[in-house]
Amino acid sequence: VAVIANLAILSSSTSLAHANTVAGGGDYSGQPAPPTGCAEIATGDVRVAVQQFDSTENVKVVCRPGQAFYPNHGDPSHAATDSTGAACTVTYYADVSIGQMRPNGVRTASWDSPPGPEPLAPGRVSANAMLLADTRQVPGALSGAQADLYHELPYVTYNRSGAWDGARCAGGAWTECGSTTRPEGRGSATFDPCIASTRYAPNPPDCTGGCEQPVANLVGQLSQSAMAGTVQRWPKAAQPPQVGAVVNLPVLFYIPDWRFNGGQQALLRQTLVLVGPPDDHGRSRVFTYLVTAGLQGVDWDFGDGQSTHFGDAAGLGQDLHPPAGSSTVSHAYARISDAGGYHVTATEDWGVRVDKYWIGGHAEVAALERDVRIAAAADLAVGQVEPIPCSGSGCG
Amino acid sequence: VAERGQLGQTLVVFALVLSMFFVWMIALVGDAGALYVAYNRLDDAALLAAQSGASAIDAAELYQGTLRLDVGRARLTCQQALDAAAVHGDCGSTTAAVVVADAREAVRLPVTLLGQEAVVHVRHAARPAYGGRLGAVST
Repeated sequence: VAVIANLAILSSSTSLAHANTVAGGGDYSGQPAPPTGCAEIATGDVRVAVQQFDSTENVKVVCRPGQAFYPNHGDPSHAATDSTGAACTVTYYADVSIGQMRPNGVRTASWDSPPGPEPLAPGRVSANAMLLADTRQVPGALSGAQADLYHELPYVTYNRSGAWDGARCAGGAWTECGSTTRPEGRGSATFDPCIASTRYAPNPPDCTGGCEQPVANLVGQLSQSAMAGTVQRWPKAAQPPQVGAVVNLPVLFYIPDWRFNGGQQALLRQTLVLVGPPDDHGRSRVFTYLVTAGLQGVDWDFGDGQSTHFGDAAGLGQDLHPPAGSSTVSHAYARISDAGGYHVTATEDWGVRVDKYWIGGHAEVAALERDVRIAAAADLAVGQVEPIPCSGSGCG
Repeated sequence: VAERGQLGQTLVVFALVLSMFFVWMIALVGDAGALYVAYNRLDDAALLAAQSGASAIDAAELYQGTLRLDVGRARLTCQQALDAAAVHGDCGSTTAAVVVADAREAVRLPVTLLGQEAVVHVRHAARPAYGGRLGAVST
């Protein structure tokens, strides 16, 4: 386990020296106007603040006579007081190093104990934190234990209380948070209440380009898996003495052998969980891609100048005819066909939509989406039934 | 004198017979005309009724490629056509293949020399037939 330790000791101090002056700057003695803020800062009391952005600190500031203490307004400088012996607090911020997530959703978090002359009481210097498991990553509901640790910067704090000796905060002992067992499930995973996180850290990088290649591959596979099928109809193709389609009797169309992704699913949803590239702290965001592929519509051209549109799978029709039922796609021809028959075309519109979910956000990835139009066609002869007088054997 | 008297008697008898023949002929022409008119009316009505009934095809069977009549509807349609023409008759012999319209009517003769009325009976049959091209679907 990699151990990263960034140290920040922030000392509190109240030793400020100020000169009396009046608002607005200047001392009424012909001196030039003061600068907009204190130009002189005693840096000796400021420790290196290498830790992250939410640290607060008190510094010793010395203003010369006539200078405004606050740069944005003209309040006068204040008289300094000697804070030697005053209570002070030292806070230690330790960076937390989190390992890769294991298949069971556990990631290891570790950090260094505070350095310095005051040794840390014997105790734990690392902990395991139960984080979000793959199996719980569902679209729109990315949640789990300490899920924020995916995109926020975790850290651990230790405090020490002492007395200001004029140069440093001395004395006291480091206090550390004790580990406990999480009562809210997921076994007896150890949870460290010392772990905190800050939103000041920017999000880890987005998943784009090569990171999204598995999604692009899936979209390509789905968009190429649509097969239009063949147009069939009732009445069936006539073989004498049977008859075929006739005028004024609705012809029932259907496409029995259409395929999508190897089956007959008009709507298909698949999810892909991808981990984005890590940032400098090793953090990554987890993205869930919801790929929705399905039939968006079917346009029928019946070859006699008539057409119709279906917005769902009903446009594929059903293998039904009276008296058992009827296909949703039907058309009654008004005239018998010529020698070539009617050219019937069914144009299927298949689409693939990609939605991207992550903790705290959602977006549609239009760049990965596809729209595929494929057609099935058939030539259909239409005749007519008419009553004719008959006699004798002609009526048989 | 006797021969001349016999000749006159023959003329009288001939005149009587000839007049009776003309009366019979007039009666025959009148009755035959009435019967002919009635026959035409029944013939038209029966033919129309048979063809009307033959239009009542069984759609469910047609979807499976079989051309046959919906017998109940064919009889009803045939009978309604007869009734619309004010002709007595029935379509009871209708089957799934053919519609048979029987029109029967007693015609009152205008001259009762041959009788008071005569019965006219006309029968027509019709069947559905597929016209146009036998369809086929090619892909």
